[in-house]
Amino acid sequence: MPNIFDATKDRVKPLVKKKKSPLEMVDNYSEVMRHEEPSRNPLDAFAPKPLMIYAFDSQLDGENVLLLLRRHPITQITKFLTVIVMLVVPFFFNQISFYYLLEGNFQTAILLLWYLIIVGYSLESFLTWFYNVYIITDERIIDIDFLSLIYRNVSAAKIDKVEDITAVTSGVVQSIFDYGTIHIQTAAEKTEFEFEDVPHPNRVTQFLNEMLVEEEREKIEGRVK
Amino acid sequence: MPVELNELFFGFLKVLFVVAGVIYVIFSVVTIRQIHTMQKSLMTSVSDRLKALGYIHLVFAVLVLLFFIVSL
Repeated sequence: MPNIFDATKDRVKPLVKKKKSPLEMVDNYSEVMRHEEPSRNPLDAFAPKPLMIYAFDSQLDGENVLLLLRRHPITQITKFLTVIVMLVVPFFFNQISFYYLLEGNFQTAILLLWYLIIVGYSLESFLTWFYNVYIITDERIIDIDFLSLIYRNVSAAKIDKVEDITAVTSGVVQSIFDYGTIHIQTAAEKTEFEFEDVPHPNRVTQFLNEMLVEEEREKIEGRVK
Repeated sequence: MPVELNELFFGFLKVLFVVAGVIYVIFSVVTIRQIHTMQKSLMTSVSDRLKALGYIHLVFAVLVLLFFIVSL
């Protein structure tokens, strides 16, 4: 007699399918994202499906960050070396005869001011790098620029407005460290977006193309939000 | 160097240091203000730590300014 009440795991199918999160859904149409693990490091310059970004300015309801980009860390090497040199310079203050003429307190004051300037320069450089980001969401591309502490510029364009994507990698350093600039032509108010010195430009370009194809598919299937 | 000229020189130097300290404190305040603006643009898991870093930076700047005023 067949056992009709056998409810082993593999025979029972869930009645309601578990809804995929938007970050999982991107794997369905993107070959690039399928091979990328979600980024948990807030300092990543190439952060696919980032889990540490809570929100950004002008984020729409239900809009999800799929890829966050910053300049490749190697582009900050000049600033890093500048800080190293500045740290070493006080060891040579003794070589300056004027330094000996000053009282002890003034010598300390010079050192304090010098190190304070180094801290300020490092902090300003880090903040500018950290917050100068390029974001690709499931709806738009966003360019957040902080060129200095007092200059801020945020531009955005819908994915379906993207017309042309070009990745440029030039020079030995860019080839070795795999970074470059991506030029995105759009039909939006801002006609050209530049993702400067971002890591893995080919992967980013491929992902943007996959996004465009998906956007077309959504239009055809009437799934446009 | 005569004593009076010496005092005048170090007095002038002290004023320079205090002015530099004040400018630096203003820079630290601008930095904190900017961190707040930047956080509105992009909220990350390290936002609070960066804010704390900004305030620590300001405290150091104020302490250095006090050192310039008191001990020079």
